[in-house]
Amino acid sequence: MASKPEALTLPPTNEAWQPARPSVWRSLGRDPLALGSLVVIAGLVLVALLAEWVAPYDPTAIDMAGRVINGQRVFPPYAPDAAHWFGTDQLGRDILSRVIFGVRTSLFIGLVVRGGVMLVGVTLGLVAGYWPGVVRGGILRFTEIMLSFPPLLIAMVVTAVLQPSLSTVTMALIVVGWPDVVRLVYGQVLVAREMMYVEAARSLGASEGRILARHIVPNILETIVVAFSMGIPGAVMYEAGLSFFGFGLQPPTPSLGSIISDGRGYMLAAPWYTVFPGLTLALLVLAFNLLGEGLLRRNRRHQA
Amino acid sequence: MLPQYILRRLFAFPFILVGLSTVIFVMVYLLPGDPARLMAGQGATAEVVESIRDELGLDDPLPMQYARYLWHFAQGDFGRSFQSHRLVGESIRDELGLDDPLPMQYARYLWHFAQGDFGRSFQSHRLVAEDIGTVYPKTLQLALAAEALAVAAGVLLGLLATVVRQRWANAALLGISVASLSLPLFWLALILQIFLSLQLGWLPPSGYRQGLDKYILLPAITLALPTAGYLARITHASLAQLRDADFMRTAYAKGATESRAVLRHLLPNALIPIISVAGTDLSRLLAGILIVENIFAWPGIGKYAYDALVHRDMPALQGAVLVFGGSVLLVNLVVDVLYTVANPQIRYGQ
Repeated sequence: MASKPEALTLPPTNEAWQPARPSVWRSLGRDPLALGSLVVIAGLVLVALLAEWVAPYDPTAIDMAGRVINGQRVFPPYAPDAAHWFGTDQLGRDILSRVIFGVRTSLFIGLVVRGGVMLVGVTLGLVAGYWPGVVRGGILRFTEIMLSFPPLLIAMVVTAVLQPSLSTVTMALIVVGWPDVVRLVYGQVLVAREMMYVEAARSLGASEGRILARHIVPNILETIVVAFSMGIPGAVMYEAGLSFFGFGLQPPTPSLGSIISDGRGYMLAAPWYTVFPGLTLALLVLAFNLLGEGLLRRNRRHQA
Repeated sequence: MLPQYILRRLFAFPFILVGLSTVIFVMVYLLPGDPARLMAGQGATAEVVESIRDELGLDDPLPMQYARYLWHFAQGDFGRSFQSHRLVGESIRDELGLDDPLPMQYARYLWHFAQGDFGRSFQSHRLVAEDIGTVYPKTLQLALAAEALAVAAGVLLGLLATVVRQRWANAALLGISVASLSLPLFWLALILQIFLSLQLGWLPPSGYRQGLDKYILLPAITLALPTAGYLARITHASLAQLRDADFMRTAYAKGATESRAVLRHLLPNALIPIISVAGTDLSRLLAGILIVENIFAWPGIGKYAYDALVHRDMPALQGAVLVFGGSVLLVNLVVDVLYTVANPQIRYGQ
């Protein structure tokens, strides 16, 4: 664009002048709910990054020695107290420490899975939106097929095929996640390519590749960013679900889902065992959902 | 007359089902574990395992296996469950596969014949299609109960928030709906199980009983909660948009009471988006079925599919996923049709 003479670019005549969009940070600043969730996320990320230093105990340290309470020898699981805020599990392992390392796993999975999902989904969505005919038909039909599967079950089948581990869980969640994004991006491309600026670029002789890269992608970028962030809680939840059913991360990799699953056998005797990891997971998901809501509100405000 | 869009969708439906079956077939084929060995049970001789492999055609080349699968699928036959079967040689009639439909017997016969094999004993086990026939109604029962609960609670909450017309009601509604969508379903199930059943003793913790029984309540409530929160929000948004519409003012001007204006004028007009969301949500609800059925031991298709996966019961898994996916596709299609019928202004793809 820089090579074009300035005089040739005509100012828009029929549109009112619009002020520049406020930055994401400024509009989030005016949205207390979104700001609060951002703070919670930042806190959780920090805890996850510094897990080795923040966690009060080694998450795998077993303490089966037992304690003497009122002259009686008691064995774990221990209820929450000053030494173990979230209590311990049946092996005497500190649940808070396990949860902290579980949060690290959850965040890692959420970000990596969502990155992969966006990569696949955006690429296929762009292709489907831009190349009509057999390619579009094929992509859209395949997307529809994949959308009709029960996602958790398919993720389970994939991890069963590949043997459950961190990388295969990531792959399985990408496999079930991308179809949604294809639909979204496809719709956005359809709208964007009918816009005046695309018409204008084309009449100026821009190649289709250039139109895609310079005009369409930047205009749907915001939608993509919001979709990335709004999809994180889903990925986190599915990982927990997979691990809960034993098709996800295997011990000793800490996962909130498998902690909750372990706690199932102690629901009456040690409710803290299931309650705290679950609450942490809910907090994580809630914060990302609220942040996504905030970003969505911001977009809507500016599109209106 | 149905719009062209819907006709196109209807036409594409069987093709998508075939595509669905292809994807499932490939996935299940890749699963590790030798089904013949699993089926024969422990302590079976190598010969028995080999004969089972042969019967099931597990040694056939992949395209051949797939062709057979498609052919059986077209006849509504999902194969036999690897789990529920009797031992080899228990019944001659079953061994000879005399209960199979004739075309299938013929295809098998031809295939074995081509290999220089003039037939072999067939194991007797239940047909997967029969299994699904018994578990699927239970899933439907649960899904419909949950959907009914969700719609009732969601619309009621949304209506309340609209009538109250306060900022805090708005915020509370948003909070409830986002929070209910953020609770992990499997955790919610466990928590409800702890409190409603183990501690308070109001509801049975898990299981199934014939007919309408309180056993359905716990799984249905669990499934309904996230949907209810979402529906409440949609209801509220859709009502609030029309609250100050001209027809409402007219209703008030004619002397309608608040409740009459809301129930007779506002609600019917706001119903279309609610119906549409309730419909699309049914497919989301079906996705949660897998979790809820397994935690509450509800013998529906979600539990069936999970058990099949754990036991590497390939035909059962294929059948279950196919029926599952087909249901979701069907629900989506029906919702689209209803939507077009309810609102003729909508014309997809134009």
